[in-house]
Amino acid sequence: MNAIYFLLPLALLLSIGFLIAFIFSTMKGQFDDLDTPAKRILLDDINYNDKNKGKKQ
Amino acid sequence: MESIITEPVSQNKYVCSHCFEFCDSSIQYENNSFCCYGCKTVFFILKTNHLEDQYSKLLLLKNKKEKKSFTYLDDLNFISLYQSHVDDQTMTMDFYIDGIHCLACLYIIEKLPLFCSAVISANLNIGTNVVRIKILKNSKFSEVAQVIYQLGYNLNPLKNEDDLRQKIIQDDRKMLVKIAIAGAVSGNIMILAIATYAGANDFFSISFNLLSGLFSLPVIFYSALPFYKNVIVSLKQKTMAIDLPIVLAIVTATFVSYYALFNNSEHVYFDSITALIFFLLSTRFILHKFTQKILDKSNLININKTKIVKKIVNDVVSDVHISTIKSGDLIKISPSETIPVDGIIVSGFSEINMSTFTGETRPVILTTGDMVYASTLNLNSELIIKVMETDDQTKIGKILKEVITNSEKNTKTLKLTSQVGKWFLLAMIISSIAILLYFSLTISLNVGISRALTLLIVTCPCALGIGAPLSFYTAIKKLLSKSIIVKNENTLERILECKKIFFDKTGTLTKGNYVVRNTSDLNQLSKKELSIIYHLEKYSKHPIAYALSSFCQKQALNINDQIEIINYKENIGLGVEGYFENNFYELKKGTESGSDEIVTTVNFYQNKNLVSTFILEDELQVNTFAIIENLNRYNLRPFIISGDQKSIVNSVAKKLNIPLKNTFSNLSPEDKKEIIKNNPLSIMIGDGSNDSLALKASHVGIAVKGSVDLSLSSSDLYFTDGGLQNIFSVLIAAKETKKLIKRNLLISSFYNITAGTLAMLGIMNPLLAAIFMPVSSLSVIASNIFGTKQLRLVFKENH
Repeated sequence: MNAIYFLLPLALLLSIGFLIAFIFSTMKGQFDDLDTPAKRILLDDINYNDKNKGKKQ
Repeated sequence: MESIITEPVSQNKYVCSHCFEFCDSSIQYENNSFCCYGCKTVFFILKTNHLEDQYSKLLLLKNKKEKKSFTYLDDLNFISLYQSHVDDQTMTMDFYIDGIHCLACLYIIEKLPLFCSAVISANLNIGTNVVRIKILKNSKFSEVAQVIYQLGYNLNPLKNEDDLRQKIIQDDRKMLVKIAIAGAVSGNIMILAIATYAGANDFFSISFNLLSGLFSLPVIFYSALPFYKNVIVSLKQKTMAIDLPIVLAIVTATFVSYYALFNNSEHVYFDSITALIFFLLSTRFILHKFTQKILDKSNLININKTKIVKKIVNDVVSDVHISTIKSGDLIKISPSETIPVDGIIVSGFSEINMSTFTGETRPVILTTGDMVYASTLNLNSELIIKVMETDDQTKIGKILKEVITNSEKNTKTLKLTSQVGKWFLLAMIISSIAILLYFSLTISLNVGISRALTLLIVTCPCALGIGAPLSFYTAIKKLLSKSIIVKNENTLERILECKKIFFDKTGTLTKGNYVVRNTSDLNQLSKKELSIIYHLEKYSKHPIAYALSSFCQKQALNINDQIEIINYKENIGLGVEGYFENNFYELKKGTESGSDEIVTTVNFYQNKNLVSTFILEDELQVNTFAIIENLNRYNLRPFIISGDQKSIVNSVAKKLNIPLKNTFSNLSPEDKKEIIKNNPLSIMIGDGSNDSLALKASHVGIAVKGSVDLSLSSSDLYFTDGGLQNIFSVLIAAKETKKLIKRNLLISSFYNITAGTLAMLGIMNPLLAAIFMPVSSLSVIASNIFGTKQLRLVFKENH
């Protein structure tokens, strides 16, 4: 039962850590738009090195 | 989540060759159908194996051949007003983009930097249809807009209304944080609480309770702030809010729990309080986001303000944005263009369709020196106008501005919850005082206090707080699936109180445009004659011309295209004429006649001899008669109010069996408002922009025409497809929701009475409370999901 003296504070710290991470990401605007990022991950990233190759001359 | 407002299913349903969704056949290319330009472009990229670094070849696959002028985007004045961000090297502007449908569209738009060198980034929000475009400082927005337009998407710049939009975003973020804190804390506290209920020994239970008490602090003093604010506001206004009994329960539970904590007792309610706050906050937030999403789509379309006007300076005509036009400027209005300002005609002679103002379908002839008003439509010829008033100083602008200010219809509180809440609060307080007195006198003060306080905690009306809004949410969602937009929850309450229903005539009861009445002698006309008439009328912009040309198309089935009219002339206000095969043909407006009804006649002459007469009328919408009849079932008395002439209004009333004393004609928008004001408890149905004063003054305003954003600022309901029969869906939804709420009340009363009795008997403890309260909330939620039988029947999803 002594394990609980260690586990309980650890569990609480963990949940506080995630809560802080959530608050931080919310205030930075991550959850403002929930629809578009879900679709955007399916698209390829733009490779900026290739960008010049495609330019019209 | 795809676009919430579903399109009405069209007759021709094809499957998009790229994404396999249903689409109408509007976009076709090489035997394939597509739902949007994004799908079409991506389909061909994949088909011809274009690789990512050859995006420039994309532009060869132009979806729109013509170019559109976006030069107004480069005007420095315009940019300073509309850009959202600027630094040394870049400029950013937000645009509302039309035509976004699916993932392929997102793909094309966000890949913009690859084939448009000026663009640094293009960020699309599918939910709001807003794209944020960042370009290099010395590039032009007009070029970028041109590229996007040729890909197939329409762009409208959005004004940088920083404060309002930012505030809304910040408020939503803070609410999300409050919910997160409540959720995280209540989840953890529940784990600790279960340990205690399961029989953890003294040391552990005390330390768990201490921890629970500690972690509850941010929830009670931060997350629950919205409840306290609502209560303070409602107490100041002396109105009842459902939050009052809820706050009472929270405060009581807090007091009891912390007291018990310091006395090392087991009666702590932290798990129930925090869970309660989490439930209430999250359901309210979901409802809020839902209504926001509906209104967002319509609010962002300020298309009225995105007008390009031809300004004349020193005889040079240039395209400018309407926001740069000032009083005294000269502008040119082409045929078929809506007049954007109030002004005086400097030169020109044309017919103007004033129906957005007066409701009259018949155009008015205006010339030099006459006043023209914003929102009316110029029909035949070019006009040069000197601007007198712009934007919200125009006549219609002033009307709309008055409409946008708050009215008491805008408050969100439901009458039902405030009424029931009052009784509930009273019952709570009286019964707890009664218990306090009884048990203090019979057993002991302590027992009296503890049982009274427990009663206050467990009889928390969270079911009512969640139940009623949730029921309206379900109803509004179902109505949305039928393309009916509801602005406010309490609209559904108010509509059941209404006794009279006022209809606007033009465009609501009637189709709003001329239709040729099919009389027998018109069948005598030969195909050649019909083709001649068609070719004579096809260049005129007058509504009579449209009516005649579409009639000829229908009658002839196949217009002879070989006919060429020589010496075509349009006599403004009178008719058209021309020569063909050496015969002189005329179509002239006849005199208005008829004792029973006033009609418009057009006479067809060949070489000055009368061949036939066309009778034109403003036809009633389909099923109008049946709709008016059915209104009786709902005890709604129909009235007609219109800006049109008495004789025409009366003839419509006769056709619909509406007694003449219930019709009002020749009214200005202000007159209509007066009549509505004199008839409280009435529904008004009309055009969203034209009738906005009357719509606002009515108990429930319904818009069936006009742009969505303008309509929703003045009315409570908007029928996207304009059909009057939608009113029955709304009435049924309102009735059934009332039944549903009564059922919810029954369920929650059952729980509350049981819980209250147990508290009175002293059997109630934190464990039972932790079970009772969530179960009562969940049962109300379940009851809402199942709805009533009628609701399910009428609103069966047909996807």
